[in-house]
Amino acid sequence: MGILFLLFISALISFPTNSAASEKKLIFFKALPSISNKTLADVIQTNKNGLIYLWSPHMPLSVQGLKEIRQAAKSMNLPLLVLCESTANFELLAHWIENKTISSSEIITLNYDRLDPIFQEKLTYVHFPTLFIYKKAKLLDNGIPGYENFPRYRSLIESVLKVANK
Amino acid sequence: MFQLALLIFLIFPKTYAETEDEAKSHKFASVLANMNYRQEFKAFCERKFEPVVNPYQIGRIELEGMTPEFFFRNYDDNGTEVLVPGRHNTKGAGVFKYGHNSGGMEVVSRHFATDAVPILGLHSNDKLISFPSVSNAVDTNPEALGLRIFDFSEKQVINDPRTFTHRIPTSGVYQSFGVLEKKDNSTRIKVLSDTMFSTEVTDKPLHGLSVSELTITGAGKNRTIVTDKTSNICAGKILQLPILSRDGTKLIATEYIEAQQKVVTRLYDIKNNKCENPLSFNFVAAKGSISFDNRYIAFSLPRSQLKLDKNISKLKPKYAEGNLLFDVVVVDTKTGKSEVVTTGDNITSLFPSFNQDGTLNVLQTEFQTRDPKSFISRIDPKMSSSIAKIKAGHQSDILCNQAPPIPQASLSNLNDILRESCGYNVSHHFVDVVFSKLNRKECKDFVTILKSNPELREVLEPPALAGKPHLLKLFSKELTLTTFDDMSAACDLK
Repeated sequence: MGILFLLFISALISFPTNSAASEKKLIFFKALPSISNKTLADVIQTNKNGLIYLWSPHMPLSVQGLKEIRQAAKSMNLPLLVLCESTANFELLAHWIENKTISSSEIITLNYDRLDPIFQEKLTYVHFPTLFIYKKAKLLDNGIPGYENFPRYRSLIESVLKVANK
Repeated sequence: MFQLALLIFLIFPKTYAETEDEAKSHKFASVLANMNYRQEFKAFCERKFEPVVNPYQIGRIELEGMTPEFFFRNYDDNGTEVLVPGRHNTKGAGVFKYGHNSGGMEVVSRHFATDAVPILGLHSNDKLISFPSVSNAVDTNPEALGLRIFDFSEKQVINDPRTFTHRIPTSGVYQSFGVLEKKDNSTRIKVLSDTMFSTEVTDKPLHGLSVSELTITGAGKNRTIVTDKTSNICAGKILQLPILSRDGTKLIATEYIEAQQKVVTRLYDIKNNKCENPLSFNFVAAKGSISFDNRYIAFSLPRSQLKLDKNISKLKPKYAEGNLLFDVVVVDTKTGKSEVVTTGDNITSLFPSFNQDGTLNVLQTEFQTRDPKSFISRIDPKMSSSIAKIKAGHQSDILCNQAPPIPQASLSNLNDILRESCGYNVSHHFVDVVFSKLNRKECKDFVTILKSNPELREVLEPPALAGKPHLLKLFSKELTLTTFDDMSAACDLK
């Protein structure tokens, strides 16, 4: 009886700790930040030229493409905004954060409910990943769907910006 | 007495014998009585319709236990079974088979979960499934790169699919297959794959589409797969999301056109490893599917893309939980006509996949609750849009007026029933029912009666048909019924 009582007490003591840990994780994922219309407009207005990479933790190639697009952006000195799809599975997100593919501070979702119709339309995607490019503070039409590696991303971005410059 | 009656009949035959029209009328009344149409219409009119989520849907495969998924492929040409790589609530990650025939879920593999694609069109019971190497392991082991084909024909290989593999070293992902030739003991297939190596694999070509022609012979332990040749195709084009037709002669992909600074979805003929005769669509779409006869193309895409197609009436883009939802559109490459074959504001529809009979399997996820569910819908894209609209018209819980009592089925009160009870919808339902239940002669008689009865014409032709051709799917053919002559011609199809 005494042992049972001790087990009961120890369960009570350990429960809040586990609960707090899982609660912390839960709170984090419940509070996935999404980009606001204003922030998005500010990013584009401030940087003038840059890249927006839309990915999903469900699509392995879109995850793999993160490092490729980062490398391309860095080599071209272009700002990169990484956005995650808003209905991403929390467990999968946690997995990619744990293996350091992406940091938790980089998890910002693209929530269409928070965007005005112009951004909603410009940021239409048909696939993960999709790369959106803005030039002269204007989002270009048609995101480019599909994974590319660094050299291909670089040449593609150069090509888009060159034409957009004309 | 009998002699007197016979005499009168011989002298005045037309007075006592049924006229031809009366005979038809009676025949029709008898047919109506036999088909118990009163009950049928009463049931129809009194029925409180459940919301029809997708009027084009003719079947559904539940994906019990699966978390909402992004990907599936047909497991057989008929589309009765599907392969779903993903995460199961109790089984964990893996590749799972669902279908009407299997009576539930089967674990196909716990080794792989990414882009598993069965090679369809092989001999029956032959189940080869390809898995691309897309994982972080690829970065550290370039030799692991490639498209691997595993044999799942025998159940015992489930736990060890490595008992049979074939690797195409130059291949990556986005694989699809076309069956070029099928003989008794061998099949020649064309494999389309997209090489997309990471920068860490520096000794490999950068990127591009290639096709490999494989010859598959034997079965079970005697099976062999030989790569006959591998060639790059569509060189010089920046293509994404490529899918090959079943006969290996056509390709759909999105192309970035540098000069126009534009991404477009296109259909190409593959000739001598070149992508020729591009047919551009007015929208950008996700991975498509080409029908077995190469005539129809199905795409999934968000409605904001659909509005670019002038053939499709404007639909408002739809979102759920802040995400973009997709619909499926089917394009007839012969006529250029496009039709959206999925509906519902809280449903997203992905990966349309043509079945042999011309229907489609589509992965759908409902966002009506906080616990979204995924399932496979079997969709009949050839169902006429008017029939689909009639079905969809009952979404608003319409309770039709109760049909008035009918002493006996006859032409005279049929008009009242149609006019007073449920009107337009019933008249269309009526046409469908009558056409499906009458034989050819009865059908023709019925149309003749309709033509000669002004009141019935009023109900069944204008305004129901006036100015708006009534598209009706009869006997597996889509018919446009604008006149009674069209209806009469339709009877000949029986």
